[in-house]
Parts: sequence; C-alpha cells; structure tokens
Amino acid sequence: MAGVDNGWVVLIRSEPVKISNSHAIRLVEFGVLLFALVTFSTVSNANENELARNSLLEVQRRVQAVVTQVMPSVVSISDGVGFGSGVVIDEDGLILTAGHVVSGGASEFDIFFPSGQTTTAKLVGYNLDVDAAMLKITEGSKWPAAELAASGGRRLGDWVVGLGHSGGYELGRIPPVRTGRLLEVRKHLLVTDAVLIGGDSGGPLFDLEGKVIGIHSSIGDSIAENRHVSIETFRNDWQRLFRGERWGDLPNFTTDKELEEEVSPNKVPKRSSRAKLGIKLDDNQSTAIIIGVDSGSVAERVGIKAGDVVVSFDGVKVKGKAHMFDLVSQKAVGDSVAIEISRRGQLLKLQVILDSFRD
Amino acid sequence: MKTKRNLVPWHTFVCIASCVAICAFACPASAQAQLSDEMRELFQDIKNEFEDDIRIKLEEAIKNDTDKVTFSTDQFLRFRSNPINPFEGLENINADELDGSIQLKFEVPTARNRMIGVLERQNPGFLSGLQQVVASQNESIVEIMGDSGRVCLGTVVDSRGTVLTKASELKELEEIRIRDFQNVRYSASILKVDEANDLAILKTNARHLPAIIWSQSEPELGSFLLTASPSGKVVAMGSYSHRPRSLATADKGFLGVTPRTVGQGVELTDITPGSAADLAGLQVGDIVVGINQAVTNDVAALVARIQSCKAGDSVKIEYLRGATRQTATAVLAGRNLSPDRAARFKMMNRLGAIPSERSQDFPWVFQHDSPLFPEDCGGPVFDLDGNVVGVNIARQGRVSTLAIPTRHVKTLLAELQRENLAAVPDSK
Repeated sequence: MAGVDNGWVVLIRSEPVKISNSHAIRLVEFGVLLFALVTFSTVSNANENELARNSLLEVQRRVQAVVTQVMPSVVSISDGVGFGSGVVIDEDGLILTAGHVVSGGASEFDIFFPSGQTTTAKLVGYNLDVDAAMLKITEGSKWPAAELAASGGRRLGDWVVGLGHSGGYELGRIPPVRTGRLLEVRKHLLVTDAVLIGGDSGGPLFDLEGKVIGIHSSIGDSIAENRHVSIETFRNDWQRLFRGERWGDLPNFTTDKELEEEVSPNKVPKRSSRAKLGIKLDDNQSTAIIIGVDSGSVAERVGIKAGDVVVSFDGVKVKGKAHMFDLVSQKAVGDSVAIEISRRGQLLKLQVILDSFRD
Repeated sequence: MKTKRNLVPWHTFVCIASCVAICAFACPASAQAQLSDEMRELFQDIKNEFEDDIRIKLEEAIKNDTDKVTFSTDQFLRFRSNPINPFEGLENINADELDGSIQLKFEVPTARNRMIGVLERQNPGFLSGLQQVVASQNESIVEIMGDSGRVCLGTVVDSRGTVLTKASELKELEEIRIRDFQNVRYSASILKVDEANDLAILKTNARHLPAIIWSQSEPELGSFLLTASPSGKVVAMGSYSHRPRSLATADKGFLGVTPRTVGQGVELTDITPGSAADLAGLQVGDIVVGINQAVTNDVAALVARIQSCKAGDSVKIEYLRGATRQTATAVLAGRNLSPDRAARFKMMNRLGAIPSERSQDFPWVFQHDSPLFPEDCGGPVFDLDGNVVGVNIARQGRVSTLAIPTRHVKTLLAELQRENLAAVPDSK
C-alpha cells in the first residue's frame, strides 16, 4: 500500500485536508458513538452490543432508502470500446463521470440506465489532472437525477454508498450496491472501503442522505483503497467544465513516457517486424466478425469490409477474436496468406501479403 | 553496471479497457526464486495475451518454478504496455537492469494479513460488537478441515448430523473431517453432490449439533449481512448488493440488441453484428412488440422475456417495420466477455481478494460485498436480525461474494435428500 500511496503523492502532491465539522448530522454522531463503543471498550456487555446493532440498523435503514432513491440515476457509459459509469445530476441530463472514462477520443457516448433505457450523450468538458468529466444527454428531459451534496461537512468514518455498473453494462442487472466508510480525505479525493472494480469508474459515491459526494476514480491493491474524486473538486472546476473546456493529463501518462525514455534511451520500440492485417474484430469468442477496417491497411486494399466474417486464415479455421489475433501474430511482415471471408452467406477467397505495424 | 528498481502498480483506474502504467522507484531487490501458486496461476492466465516470444518466457518461468523472468528491453516494453496491464495486482516487481536486458521478479500482495484500519467496515472491534446477532445459530456452523487448516465452512441442516457445504473445496481432501463450535472433530463422508450449484451434503456422526433455522424473509437491497464462524465470531460484514439472478454462463440467452422503449413497443437502436438479432434479419429502427406471443411494451418486458430463455432457444419475435407487422425467429446465442476485458477484469478481481477456485457459473445466487476468503464460504449468511438469508457459495473477487438464497437452498436440499433416500430405500 505504501507504494500505491507513493505513486499518488509523488504525482499529485496530495496533502490531507482538514475536515470541517460544521454540518455534523445526527447520523454522523451515531457512527462516532458506535465506533467509540466497539473499539475503545475491551469488555463489551450486552447493552453496548445492542446499542451497536441498533445504530447499525439505523444506518441500514438509511442505506436502503438511498439505494431506492438514487438507483435510477446511475448510468453506464460506453465509447464503443470500454465501459465506465456515471450519474445524472439534473433533469436535462447533465452527467458527472471520471475523466479517464471519456478521454479515449470519442465525443459521443452510449448511455445505459439501470431500467434498460438507453440514450446518447455528448462530451462537455474534462479535467484529466483530477480525473473529472462532464457529459450531457443529447435528447429529452425529465431524466432521473441525483442531487449533489453540499461542499464540506464530511467526517472520517461517515458511512457511504457506492454504485456503479461493475464490469460494464449488463441488461437486467442493476448496479450492485456497495457500502463502506470514509477513511481519508485528500486534496482532490475521498478514500473509502466501498469496493470498486473495472466498469465502476465514474460512478457515484453517496452520503446517507442520497447526495453525491464523489465520483469513482481508481483503486489500490487493498480493499480499503478505493478513490473517488470529491464533489468539491468538481465544484472548483464547474464553470470551466460546463463551458466545455478540456484540459489536463491523466497522471500515469507522464510517468509512462519517462520510464520509456529511461529504459530505452537510444532505441525506438522495435515493432516493424510484427505483421498486421488491419481489422477490428467483435469480442465474440467463437466467430471472427469484422467490425472495422483500418484505413490504409492491407485489409482495406483487398476489399475486406465491416460485417465480413473471417472463416479461415492460412488454412486454419478461425475461432474468434483471440484466436485470430494469435494467428496473425505468428506471421511476419511480407508473408503471403490465404484468407477465406464469408460475406452475406457468400465465401470469398483472398490472398494477402501482410503489412507491418505503423504506430 | 547493474541498476535496480522497483516497479509498483500504483494507480489502477477502474474503467474497463483503459490502459494503465506503473511508476518506477529506486528500491533494492531481493533474491529468492520460487514461484508461488498465485503467481503460477497468474502467468497461466495472462501468457496467451502476449506475442510468442513473451509467452515462451512466461511458460519457461512456470516450468523452471521461478518468479524471475528476463526480458530484452523491447520485450519488456511490449509486456508492460499490453492493455491487460500485467503488473496490476502485484505487490512488488523488482527489476534488475542487466546489460541490454531486464530481469523482473514478481510478487503477489498479501490480501490475508493486511492491517485493517480502525474506521473500516471490517474493523474487528466493530464486528465483535455484532456477535450477539449470530449467537443463537453459530452452533449450527461447522468447519471442514484440510491438512493446513479450514478449507471451508458448512451448515448443519438436520439433527442427524447432515452438513451442507461447498462441494468444490472438498476435491483435494483425502479424508473429510469437520470441526464443531467446541473444537471437537468428526470424520465425514460425502452423501451427494450437486455440481451445478457446487453444493455437497455430508454425513457425520455429530448428532448433537442443532439444525440451522432457515429464514422466510428476503433482504432488501442495501441490508447489512454477516458471516460467522462456528465459534460465533463475525468474520466479515457486507451489504446485500444484488437480488438473486442466474450467473450460469452457458444458459444465458443473448439477443444482441440495444433496446429503447417507445410508444408502441421497444425500438432497436443498435444491433450487434453477428448476433442472434442480426442473423434473424432484425434492423435498427424495428420496433419489437412481442416475443413468444407475449406483449413487450417496454424494455423491462423484453429483457424479462429474453432472460427467461436459454442460449440455443429459438424465440419468435413480432415487430413493426414502418407500417408493416412482421415476424422473425431468432436463435439465442451465449454471450462472451472479450478476452482482453475478461483478463483485465480477472486481474482487478485479485486486488485485495482471493477468489474461490470455483467462482462462476451458478444457476441462482445473490451478490453481497462481504470480503470473504475462500475458506469462509460454505456456511450461512445472516441479516442483522439473525435470519439465515442464504449460504455463501463463492468469493468472486474484489467487489463480490455470491450466496445461494435460502429459499433456493431449501429446494435444492430437498432434492438432494430425496435422491439420497431413493438410493437407500431401507434408511427410513
């Protein structure tokens, strides 16, 4: 964990922020009381335990209410390649999400609601330095929306509810409910033990009033290391984001470049000998369905089109994307290969000379 | 000249398919070559994601039982920049920079013995304050013991010493021994196994143990759940994350459409190439009004219809194209996660968690987020009123534990016992 923290501190120069306790709500007191009872008493008697259970029952009642109230506003976001999450925060369809969910270059995104309803959204703005982004649904109104929490007033130990479309959107599955407690407040971030995984990025973290206090961003190697961009961070940049400004770098990219230079000061990564056909395949594992052809690639030159299915490559029957990738990677640039393509029930036989990777 | 560095996986963005890199810090490397089981499994999982030369390096490491792999600079860069991010989930990757090559030493983090912060939901002091919730039923929990400790938990289901447990955890055991709440040990034998649900019933001579009392109620989303050991200790706490659903991958029917509710029915706004819908001739803009004679006036109805079917089933779809009403028959296919995403997801699942050996493909389970270890599965899971709401059946990964809901457990148990009685007619 130290390593994880190092990485963060070195790159972001994060420092702990003093937390004001001006808005201590009753529930916070419950949490603190409960905590005091169970951790500072070595002998727990029945009364204290009953009290512990009762305060937890109160937290549970609040969590259940929050889940019912906010679930409809938690969306899955896809740029056609990956999946993240987001939360709708007004009836016109303004969405908050994480910067790295929308930084892939797309400007339009598919939006999936837990109900199964779908729509599209356009990129408004992002600040990649803090991993914050804003999207706007392009049509309609009266979208189910969650409210933002007021700035400040968070206390360590506060209970939180995390929602997000883990692992990407699944029809018929709602965002799984996670709970945890606020463990740390850093400059741009909240750290909790409400667990996150791929696909949750950009999803909302709620307080027990059902208000958004953070947006899921990253994880470390412990279940107690889940980081969320704080709502205060969004507020700081609100006007710029809303105006459509896009700025900043995701922290890892700088280091990536530095390391590359450090490791191989004189060498350009050698990629020229790797063969490339220039097609994009569907994720299917049994059939190699082409969903895109790179312009200028050998595939385009021989007339391969999106919608074609690769039947065989070099005499081998192709069993899906991974297998196709494997077969091509075994070839060298300049190899001549027979490819069979099925197009609308018709079998086409092609002979291609494989090209090289151009980055 | 030899320089050393420590490559720390520091910042995993939780977005599927984003590519993540690592930082470099100067740090002394330690020696000790032996491949841990976790690392071996990880090498096995990821090796096919790479070009041949790198794959062979990983295969050699497995064969030679070493956690050190030597790459050329070019190989290292390709290895590191793979979209699945091979460094994710690793505690420590010590790199020795040799002349023109880089030797990596891989270590997995210790999810088991981490320091638990005082404020965490899993704080032991906090959990011990909840022991009374499970106090009336902990004597109905037993441990299934292997040579090096507990392999899983079990649930006593009658007063004749019958124990329900997680079948796949018993595979490696030469003899099955159970241990009760007073640390008394008994030998046990397998009466019956339900492979699909990964349940086994054991026969023991522990006849004094009370049978578990199953609950009638189903938890609400967001309810807190507790898992306990025979001693009555609360081993983990979590929240009820998702209602019961089928996670049987083979059965799930997949139509391959993006639906949207419109006035007359469900409009298809996107169709996956090669999917069942595509092959059946459906087009973007078609409005589905019925499936297998049932009306689908909104997305929820369509989803419910499709989910009640299995892969391989054919469904009759009625739809409007412009003004004409048409019918098509689609044969539902199974759905696959892309290999890239699946591998990346698998890595993240190991961040701070150890998944059960069998963690997938369950016919009917609910999801909660209690951070169990594989050996904590097989026993009952309680709500805050002490009701037994299910049986933990697998730790799936970082965010998810799966449990079979009580109502389903009771049905399965009745089937297992009926089959067993039928096989032994004179046991009455």
